Amino acid sequence: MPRDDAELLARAGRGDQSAFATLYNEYQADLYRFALYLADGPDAAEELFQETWFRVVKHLGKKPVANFKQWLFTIATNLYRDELRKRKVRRVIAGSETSEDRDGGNANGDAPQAIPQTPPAAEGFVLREALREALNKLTHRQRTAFVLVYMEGFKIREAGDILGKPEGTVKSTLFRALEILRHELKEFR
Amino acid sequence: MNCREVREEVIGRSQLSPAIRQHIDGCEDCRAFYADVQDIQAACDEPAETPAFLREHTLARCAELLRAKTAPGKAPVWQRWCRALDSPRFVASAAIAGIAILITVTAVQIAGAQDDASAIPLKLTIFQVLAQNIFTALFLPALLLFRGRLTGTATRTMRTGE
Repeated sequence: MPRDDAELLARAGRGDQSAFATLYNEYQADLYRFALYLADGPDAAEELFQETWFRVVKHLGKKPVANFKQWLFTIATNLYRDELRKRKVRRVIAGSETSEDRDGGNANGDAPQAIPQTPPAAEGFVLREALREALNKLTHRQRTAFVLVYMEGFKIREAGDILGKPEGTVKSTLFRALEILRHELKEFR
Repeated sequence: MNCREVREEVIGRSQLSPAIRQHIDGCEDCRAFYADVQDIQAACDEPAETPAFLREHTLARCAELLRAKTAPGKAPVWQRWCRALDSPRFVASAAIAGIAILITVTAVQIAGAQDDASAIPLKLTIFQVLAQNIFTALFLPALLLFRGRLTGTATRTMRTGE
């Protein structure tokens, strides 16, 4: 964690609004992108984004945090996982659990919502759009690991800490995710 | 290293070790895998912008929560007790209660001693009452001093948030 983060975190924990705003402005875009790729649709992404920041405020100053970004994304991942569990329970009660649910997969009974589109920005737009589509083919666990490592730049070990999985498991998950993405994207390269 | 191991090693790495590089150079499938991973990684490099409304609204709500969380009313219980000790109302109530108890106890003890025919218990009772008065005279300033220290600590703690 940059040295400033620790200082800002300590100040925010004592109620310093400007320190919190600095941390927020530093990481809000990364968290929003993460939420956007993870959640099913923009509404769910917004909810995940907000709830994550509210949890951060709630837990500020309660225990020492070595790496703020990792902590932030751990909260988001746990919230996302909780939401999946709740959804799964609702479906089990309704009697429509699917095999992908049991694997932690992405089928949710309804048609999976596509990751929201953004306007073209630069070269590689086609591949990026195809990647967005292809990410919907991954299980939730694969998608989370992939987004953490390849989009948010976490190391495998850090992603493992966030996901609560050993490094080897994260590597295997990513390997399977990449194989699926390669297959889905082969016509775009 | 077999192909699977090499591919897992390639994942999440920006630089390859000489052994992996050597394998990739000599293995067409792994070379293709590595190239694909690099393409995918390049496609992932996408900036994101949080919608302005969401960004502003979330920050404003967080500021509210932070304010509520660190507001004096939300201080730990022991700090709230200390703050209560610091009020003039508490000091006045404690003083009145103390004096009332002292008068009652003294009156009961003197009445008890007077009922007794012996002079020695009367002397002892008077001695006890005197000792109590001296103790009270020392105890009340000590209590006030302790209260000042306690509330001073609590105030500092609340101010620094530590």
